[in-house]
Amino acid sequence: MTATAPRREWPRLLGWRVGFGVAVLVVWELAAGRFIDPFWFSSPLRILRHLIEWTREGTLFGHLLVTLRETFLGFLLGSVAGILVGVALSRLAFLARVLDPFIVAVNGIPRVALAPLFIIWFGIGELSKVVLASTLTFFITFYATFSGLRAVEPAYQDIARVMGASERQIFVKVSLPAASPWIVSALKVAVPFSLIGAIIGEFMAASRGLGYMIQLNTNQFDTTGAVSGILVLMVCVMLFNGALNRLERYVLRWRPRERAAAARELP
Amino acid sequence: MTPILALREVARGFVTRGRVVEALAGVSLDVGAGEFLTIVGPSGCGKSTLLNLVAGLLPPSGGAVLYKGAPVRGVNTEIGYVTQADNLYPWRTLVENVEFPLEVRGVPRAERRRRAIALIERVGLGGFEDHYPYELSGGMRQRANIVRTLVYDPEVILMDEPFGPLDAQTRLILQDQLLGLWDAARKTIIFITHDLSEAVALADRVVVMTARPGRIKRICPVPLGRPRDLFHLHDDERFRVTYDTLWDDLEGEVMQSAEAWQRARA
Repeated sequence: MTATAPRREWPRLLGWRVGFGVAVLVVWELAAGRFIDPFWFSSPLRILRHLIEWTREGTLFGHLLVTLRETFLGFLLGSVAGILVGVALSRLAFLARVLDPFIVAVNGIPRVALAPLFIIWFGIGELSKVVLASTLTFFITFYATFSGLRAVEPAYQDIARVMGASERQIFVKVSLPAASPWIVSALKVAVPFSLIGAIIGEFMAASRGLGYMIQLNTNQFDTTGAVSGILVLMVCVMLFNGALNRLERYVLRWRPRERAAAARELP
Repeated sequence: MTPILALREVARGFVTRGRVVEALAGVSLDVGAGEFLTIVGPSGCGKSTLLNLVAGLLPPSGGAVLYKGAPVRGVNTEIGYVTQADNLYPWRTLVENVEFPLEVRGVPRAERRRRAIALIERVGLGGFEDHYPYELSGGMRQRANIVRTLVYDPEVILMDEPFGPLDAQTRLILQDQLLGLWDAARKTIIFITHDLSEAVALADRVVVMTARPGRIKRICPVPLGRPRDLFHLHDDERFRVTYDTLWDDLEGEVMQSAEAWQRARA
């Protein structure tokens, strides 16, 4: 959305956005202690103080690092595997049809239900969270790669064949780039899901990480601590999104602006 | 003279909804080296199937396709194919698209760039080398599409209604450019079109096809010299006579094809 805004509109848009954000915070702060009980909902200034304190103690950075590491490794593992399996099955049509119901079934398992099992199998440490996160990213990238490769315009491949390309060259120079919009948008979706996987894992059983901190604070009825953790997660996701949008715009720079914008606005 | 391309009693059917539909039946045709041949016929008469057979993208279900006297087995990479929809790769810039066939054939980077740029400039696309296809107009894309085929110097070029979606003025300009390029290189061209006047204006010989299953109804030489002034061809008596003769043939087929379509709908 922001990318398509004409240049002149930018300052106005940014102004309104900042204004809206500040207004929400001010209303919240003023209402806290008057209309709402800060014990349940905390307040912006309390959260700010809490975050400063966390940062000074060094706790925030340590826990954040653990969660980000789990998220990143889970994302990497899941999406690399997803792309590889997607590529393989797109070429082995019969095997893909044999496996189809199994893939649907496994993907249908709510990941929260798997989390305790992963803790048993892979321990209370970071590995169980990495695996959980990767099961979420795997299916997203697998389906996108598989469908993207099967949706490649056959004429693109035929014409490459006539122009003298080998099957390998067709795959690398035609099919993969043609499927790249699918794969790139799946990677974009997969990042927040990977974070969700890591946090769910930490909720179940962990001794470190932001999810663990949020859980711990909630159990102690420290809403300020819980909301502070949630806020940090929110900022992380927004930063990831910004970076991924930039990356997408670069990788898919050959697409007409409107189409790329429409794809971005899809949930 | 042995023809560069020969079709011998070629047939091709397709299975749709459990029924075999004959697209082509008993097509025999010789194409000489350096000839400009155009094919006209009602829609659905198997013209595109014919080109796919010649390119080796489809095997014939009967008869034989001979290229330089030998049956075509598998894709014939000595052939260039310009499709109706421009199949430029949207993720490649104009010059990268034109370089593609050279790239897959292992031509060194500097040489393929040089050859691509030279042709791009010949058709007036200089300055647009680094544009992506979506940034080009339909006429520019189709020019790029043709140039991409010419760049690797195929012996035979197949063109499937390459100017179909373009407006009349752009068509005329591209037709003129195509004849210029053909005059310079004298490749064999098989050119499919809906437009009879385009067929007559470009061709050495015009092939008229029947409604499905597609057969050859008539092969008519065009008694016009070269080079041709496409912009004033319509005033030429020989052009009009050829056009009228062919139209008499084509009209019946077009009507028959339309009736069959009506029946299928009813």
